[in-house]
Amino acid sequence: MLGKSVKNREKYITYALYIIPGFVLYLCLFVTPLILGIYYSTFDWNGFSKKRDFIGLGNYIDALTDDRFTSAILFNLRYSILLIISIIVISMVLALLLNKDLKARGFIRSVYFFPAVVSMLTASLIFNEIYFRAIPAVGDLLGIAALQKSVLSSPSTAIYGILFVHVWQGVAIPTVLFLAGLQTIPGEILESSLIDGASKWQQFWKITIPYLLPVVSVVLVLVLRDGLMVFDYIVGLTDGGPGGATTSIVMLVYRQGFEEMKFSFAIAEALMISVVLIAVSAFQMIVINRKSIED
Amino acid sequence: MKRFSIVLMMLACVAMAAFGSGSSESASSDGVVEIEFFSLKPEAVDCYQELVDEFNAANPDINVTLTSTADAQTVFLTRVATNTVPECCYVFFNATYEEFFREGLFIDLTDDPLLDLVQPSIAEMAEVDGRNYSIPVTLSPSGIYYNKDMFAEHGWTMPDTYEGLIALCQEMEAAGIQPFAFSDKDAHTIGQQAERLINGNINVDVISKFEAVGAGETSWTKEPEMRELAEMLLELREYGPADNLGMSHEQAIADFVNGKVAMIISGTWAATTINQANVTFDYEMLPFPSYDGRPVYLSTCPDTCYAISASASPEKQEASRRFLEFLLSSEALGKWLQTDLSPNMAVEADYNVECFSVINDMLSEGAMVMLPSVLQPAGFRVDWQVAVQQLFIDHDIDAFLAKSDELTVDYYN
Repeated sequence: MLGKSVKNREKYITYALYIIPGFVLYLCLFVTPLILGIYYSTFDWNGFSKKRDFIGLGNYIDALTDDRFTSAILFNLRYSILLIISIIVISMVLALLLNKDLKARGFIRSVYFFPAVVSMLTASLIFNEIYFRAIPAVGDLLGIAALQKSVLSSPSTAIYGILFVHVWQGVAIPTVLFLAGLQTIPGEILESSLIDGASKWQQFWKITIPYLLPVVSVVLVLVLRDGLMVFDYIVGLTDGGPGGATTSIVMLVYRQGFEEMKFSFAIAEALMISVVLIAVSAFQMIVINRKSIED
Repeated sequence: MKRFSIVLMMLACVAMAAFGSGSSESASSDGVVEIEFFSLKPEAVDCYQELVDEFNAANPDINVTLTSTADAQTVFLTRVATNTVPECCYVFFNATYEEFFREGLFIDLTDDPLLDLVQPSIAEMAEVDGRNYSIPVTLSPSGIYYNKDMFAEHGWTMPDTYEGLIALCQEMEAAGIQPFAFSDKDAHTIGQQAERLINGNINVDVISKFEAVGAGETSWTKEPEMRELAEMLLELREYGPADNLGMSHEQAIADFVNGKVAMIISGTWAATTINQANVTFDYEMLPFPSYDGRPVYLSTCPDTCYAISASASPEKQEASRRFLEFLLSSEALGKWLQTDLSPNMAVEADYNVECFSVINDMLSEGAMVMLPSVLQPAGFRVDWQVAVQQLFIDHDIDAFLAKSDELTVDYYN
């Protein structure tokens, strides 16, 4: 009995030794800045001045009443919903296709992944030219007025221009995850369902989807985070325009922190977004885990 | 992965601002003084590296290390926020940097012999509360770039008046040539253009109007300047691309050098990009013509400036001085002028850039005025340029005036 207890203690010490370096780094690089961030967000401070005035929750109240902040939040929510739907649907369809015994499957698997290895800036430059020169040229040729202007030049359509590039690059990794998920479905269950007379749709809905739910949960968190933190594509494609229509939260935080020198205000906004991000992620993970195959 | 960089930078700023850090180490044990030269001009990295190597070879007691990153401004602001200001810096001259000077981040160079290496007019321009905290070297005015071959072929000349410019645009259109390319997708180019026109062509003292509107003494609906600017910008857009809001700065330059358009409005900084896009292209930049018979000024500010960190040790400050002396020598300036064509105000500079000869003459005659954004609260122009872009979307001048009022009051209080 005593020997077992000593063995357990040694085991826990070994575990602790493995955990400590990561924990210390996490503490230094994430927890400490977070606490300091909360501290600095209670001041009126430009980031470099020796003088800073304590204003309590002033920055938070100002942010909540700031039109730019609320419109950036609305943009991010709309963008995230569209991004999640597009990426999950497209990558699931792609994964289902790639899971079949297609001819040239290896080639297709390499080709669909190509956009993911292009840098975001390069992708933005390519699509800037496509949107401004190639598509309007086609529109002129075919006499289609809707195609004669860049999708990025209108406040109502610019979001779709950014979304398309993001989806074009963003489906690769979720497709790999879905493909891996599909390969965990036992063949005998699918065969049994066929013998029981299940249709392809019933097979997909009753077997495939429940098995893929844990993957959906992971993809959802990843894509949601991408959607709420979108920055690079916007900088490369619209710079937040036209007329501020595509200004995202991260972009606003960057501008207010580094261009308008409202450093504490920007920290307060970033912290509020973190809270939203954590809450939404936790909520959707709880919901999806309840519905997963284990249940 | 820029968003992660932003998050990390914000975190780093917060952490380091708390823990503090300085750059006051003195000479290394072998007696060589190590200094860091931070450049805010990533496109000049090769030129600066060459100059740094040359300086290090000639000065064995000093070792300069060049720091030049793609997103230099963000990195620099992070360094400032974390109290790790490099010993020797390339700085800009705008509202944010003026605040840095006032905060005492850089040493006072007012009585320093280094200031004698640049012309008094630019030194005076770079004063903050009557003191010089940086050595200003170049200016960055803007104007109209035109295709010289195209103008010569059609017998056109650049008019002296705004009315003449509109008439010329109509003539160009009749000849089947698009007069202008406007890069209105990039809001910052709109801001640059709008602030230079309202100041250099509409009212040389417009800054006092901004202050009065900010103080609530008047409004842009009562003052004529903002409406005149809106009308001018919208009228000019009639002679630009149909999809001006879809065109980027690079695309505008591509259309200009490829002869698709006759003119673009931009600053002296665009010359390097134009030359890189087409080395045989013949062009010139002239000031924007007189509006309603008013005098024309070049709205500009010191562009390339050098400063020395106040937190550096006296030894490192002295080493930085020697390095800056070298950068302002005729030999180094000769190399610099191959990289940056902007009007150079260093005493030793042999400035002879043909495409800017008229502009340079105007600067020498003193026909210049300080850029409004240098004198306005930090961040004003970033917000205001979005309002100007919105004007191009809805063409609603009244809404633009109301937004300009709102922003002016907001930022000036």
